[in-house]
Amino acid sequence: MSEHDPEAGPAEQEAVRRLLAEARHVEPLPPDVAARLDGVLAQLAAEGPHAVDPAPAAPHAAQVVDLAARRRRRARGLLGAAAAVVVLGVGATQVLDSTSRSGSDDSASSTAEAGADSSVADAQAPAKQEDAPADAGGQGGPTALSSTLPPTTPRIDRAGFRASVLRLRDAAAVASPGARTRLGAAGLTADRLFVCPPTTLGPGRLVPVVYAGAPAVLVYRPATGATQSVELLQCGTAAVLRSVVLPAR
Amino acid sequence: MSETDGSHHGTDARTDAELIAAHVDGDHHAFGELFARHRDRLWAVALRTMGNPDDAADGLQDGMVAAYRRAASFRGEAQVTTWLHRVVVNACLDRLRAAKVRRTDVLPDDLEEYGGRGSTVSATDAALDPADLTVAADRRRQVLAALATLPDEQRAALVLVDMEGYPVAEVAVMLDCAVGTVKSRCSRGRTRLAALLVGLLDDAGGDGHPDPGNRPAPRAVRSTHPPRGPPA
Repeated sequence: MSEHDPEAGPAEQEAVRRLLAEARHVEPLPPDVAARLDGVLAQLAAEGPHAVDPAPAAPHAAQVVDLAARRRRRARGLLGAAAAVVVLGVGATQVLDSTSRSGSDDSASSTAEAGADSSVADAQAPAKQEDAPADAGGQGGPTALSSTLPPTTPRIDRAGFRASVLRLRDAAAVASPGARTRLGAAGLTADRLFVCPPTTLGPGRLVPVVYAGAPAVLVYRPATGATQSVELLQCGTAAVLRSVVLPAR
Repeated sequence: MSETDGSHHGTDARTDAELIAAHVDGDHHAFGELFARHRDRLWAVALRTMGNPDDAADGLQDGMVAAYRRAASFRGEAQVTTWLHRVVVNACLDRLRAAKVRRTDVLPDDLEEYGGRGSTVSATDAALDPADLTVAADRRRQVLAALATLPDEQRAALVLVDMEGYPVAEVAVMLDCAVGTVKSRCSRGRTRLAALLVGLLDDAGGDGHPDPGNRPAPRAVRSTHPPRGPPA
């Protein structure tokens, strides 16, 4: 439907409302989901007072606007920096991203960074936003879930990517169950706070991580000759966010 | 909506606001009690917003963890239940945006997966005619499938306003937008649904029992002119 299509008349709108009301979900939380949430709550409680973030400083309306503006400026800055990185090339590092992959990676990272803390902090002190076009899409990419992901999950970033990959190699204890098997969070870690939709990760040994505020998985591919490639895959999509080649051991 | 709206799963007499304050002050039982009061309705919102139970569970968990961690940011400007809905809906919408690239087609599957798992209170009335139940289930399936085709923000608005029955002003707080934006999203969403569900609209206007016989064929383009009568 385009913006210019006529709206349904009152009778049709009312009929749709009735259909929607009839389709309301009225059953309680399923027991398995309830048990899962109870387990997560128990884990949060075990974290003690550190699980609850301190109250933000004296809020007022002007601060809300400032936060929104700062977030937009940061997004623009990160996008500019990402573009510069793409132009200058990242060949100096040992990251083996192709140009196109690097571009998508950077933009995705910027999106995640720009949206950091958006899901929850804004729930109380939101930045007002215009109603996006109804069909607006293209907001894909990793979401800002870092605040909900377990604090014990390794955080890695672009700057120290190779060093992180080397450091975590010994922690890659989980073997991929198969090249075509989809693996979810439960197959990666016992930590219930880590959320990762089932993802086809391919062969290798796996380490769940947080990258750019979103869940991801480091996959240490089987060594071939003297080298071993390592890919950072996005949870849910299996998109390659980063990759690097290490000397085989 | 009252501050303690929602079913009470425990015996704690504290209000929602008192519970969230107690949680921030270190009472780790308080949040569980608070969430238990509202989780069924939050689940319903997450399920209808996400379109399937697996993603709904993830979205609800994200929202719950976020609310737990950020409870100190609640400043009492809205009711606790409104704030909880807002956090959960935001978490769901975040998740939908992240999944956009991998989602190709979302069809509601909760009817199949969860059809027999509800409470006995809300379970299907055995006294109803099985034929009516089949028709109702089919209608519900069509509505949910059509709902899944809407843009995320329109769907969230319709779930909160038309399905859950929250006032538009409260939904505006939940969705962090103006009241007019909520109305606009709802109106545009209903218009889309009207085009998709044209065969059901007449049923919805009656007593819930569709007339026997074939339904009219779906219209490709909705006409603004009144229907013509039969030839003389």
